Amino acid sequence: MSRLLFPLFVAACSSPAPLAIDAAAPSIDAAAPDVPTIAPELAIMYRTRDGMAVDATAGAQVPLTIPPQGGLVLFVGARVRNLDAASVTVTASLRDAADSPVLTLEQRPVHLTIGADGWAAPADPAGMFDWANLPACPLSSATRDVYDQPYVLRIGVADASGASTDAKLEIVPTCEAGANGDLCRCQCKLGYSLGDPCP
Amino acid sequence: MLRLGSIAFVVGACAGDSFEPWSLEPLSPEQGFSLRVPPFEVAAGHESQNCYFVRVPDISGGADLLIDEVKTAINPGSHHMNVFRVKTLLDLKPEDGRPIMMGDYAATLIEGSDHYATSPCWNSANWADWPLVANSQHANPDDPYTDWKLPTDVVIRFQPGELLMVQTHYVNTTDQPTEFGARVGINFYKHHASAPTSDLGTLFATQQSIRICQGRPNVTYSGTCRFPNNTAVTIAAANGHFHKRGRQFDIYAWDGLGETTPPDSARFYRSTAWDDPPMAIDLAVTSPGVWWSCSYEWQPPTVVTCDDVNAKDPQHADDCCYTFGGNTDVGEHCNVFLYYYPRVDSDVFCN
Repeated sequence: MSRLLFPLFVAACSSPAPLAIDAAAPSIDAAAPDVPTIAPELAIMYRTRDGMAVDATAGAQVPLTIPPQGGLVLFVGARVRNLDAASVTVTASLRDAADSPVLTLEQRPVHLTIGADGWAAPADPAGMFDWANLPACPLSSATRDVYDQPYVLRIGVADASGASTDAKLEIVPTCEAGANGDLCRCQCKLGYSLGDPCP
Repeated sequence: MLRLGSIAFVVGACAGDSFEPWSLEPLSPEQGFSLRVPPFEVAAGHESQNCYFVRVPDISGGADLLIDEVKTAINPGSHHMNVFRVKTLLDLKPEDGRPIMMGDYAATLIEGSDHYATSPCWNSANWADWPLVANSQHANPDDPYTDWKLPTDVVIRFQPGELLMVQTHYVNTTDQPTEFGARVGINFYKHHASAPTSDLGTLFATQQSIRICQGRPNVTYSGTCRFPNNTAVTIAAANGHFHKRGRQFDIYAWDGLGETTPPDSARFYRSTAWDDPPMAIDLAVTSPGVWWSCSYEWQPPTVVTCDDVNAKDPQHADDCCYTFGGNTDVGEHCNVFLYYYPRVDSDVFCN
């Protein structure tokens, strides 16, 4: 596995670059077929409440969303370049700080569509399948409220050839207004115990 | 309605198969309590998911009831049997059910049939904050029993009057036939020893928004969960649940440090049989968390058609994509059922 040097800030397209607090050197499996000749790149993205895919910037307020199977998740992912878009697996995780243990993690295959700019982004940004559904609440490992506080999001991407890269970014998980927001602030509150009554 | 309660002979079935009807001892209040799902039939080519609501009897003079053994007996064709503690009521409500008896105890029943798109008994969001109590996926014709003795001085703690939901899921297809009628029994055995006890905790995890498509037939989904207060607990039992595209279900001890699949040496559970997954009941794995992986291989449906599968796909990708939920032919799962001690502060739901 060769390791290529890579700048700290990972996004390099014409869109505003997300402020990564750390970005690993991308790796390319030199033994695999169809090896990209240039290093993989990623920009961390998330799904807004109205189903749009947007680049995440430092301190981005990322929605906590109630998915069909219950609890609350963060729909997070990436747009990528120089990876085989047809075979990308995304790994998303959340930490208290960049060097602290993982609180929650999800890994899944995603379907990305390559745009005119050469970047591949979630094919169905309004849906759930092309994002990591990062479990956020209830979070038994939480040491503080999960909402309205900064957490470190890490996104890693890899394709079938073994090429991969990753980045970290500080985000703020955020509850929405209304009844769903009340449930969010209850189940994402430090000390919530499974089955506790919520609004 | 098929009645099997008093049958004491071998029931014949097609192709020479036979099944000795199971027998579970009825428990006295001194011994514990017995729940019996009234026998019912599942029409060929159909599935049945039922939700039964029943209260924990007061058989300890008003004190908490401590359980140290759970024994189930389940007729073949069962896909799962889960027991949850009822908490927040959304669309699945005991008062909406019809009165029945579960052995000696009054209960209500909401029949989900195979109406997975409309019945609240099929919608997992309705029990997302209901802590798991026990489960069994074992209903082998040669051995329909699961006898789970908890580790020494570890107990399931019930409050008298606490509301439980017993969920059964039967399949009657060629993949998982229900040839002898649906019938489930559960015995909860009372703990009698006087030494200090440790409460059992439970972890139920459901991988969100899985998707197995013809165009990308081999996929793996992974998730993690850490125990309350980041405590290294002892994992006592575990089993994984997926449907017929499932090829391998692995669960590992996980320390929260790595972001790649833990090494094989950390793996304490593997299932490669979607229709009879093992339940590991003699584990003694110490870990502050778990990592699981569900690996799938796409295959065409065997009962319905890809048109039916496509109709259920929220993305309508027309790629015969199996997504979460529904019956075994049209939908998929990746669920972890896990039991640990001490319970610490809370049972765990990992979504």
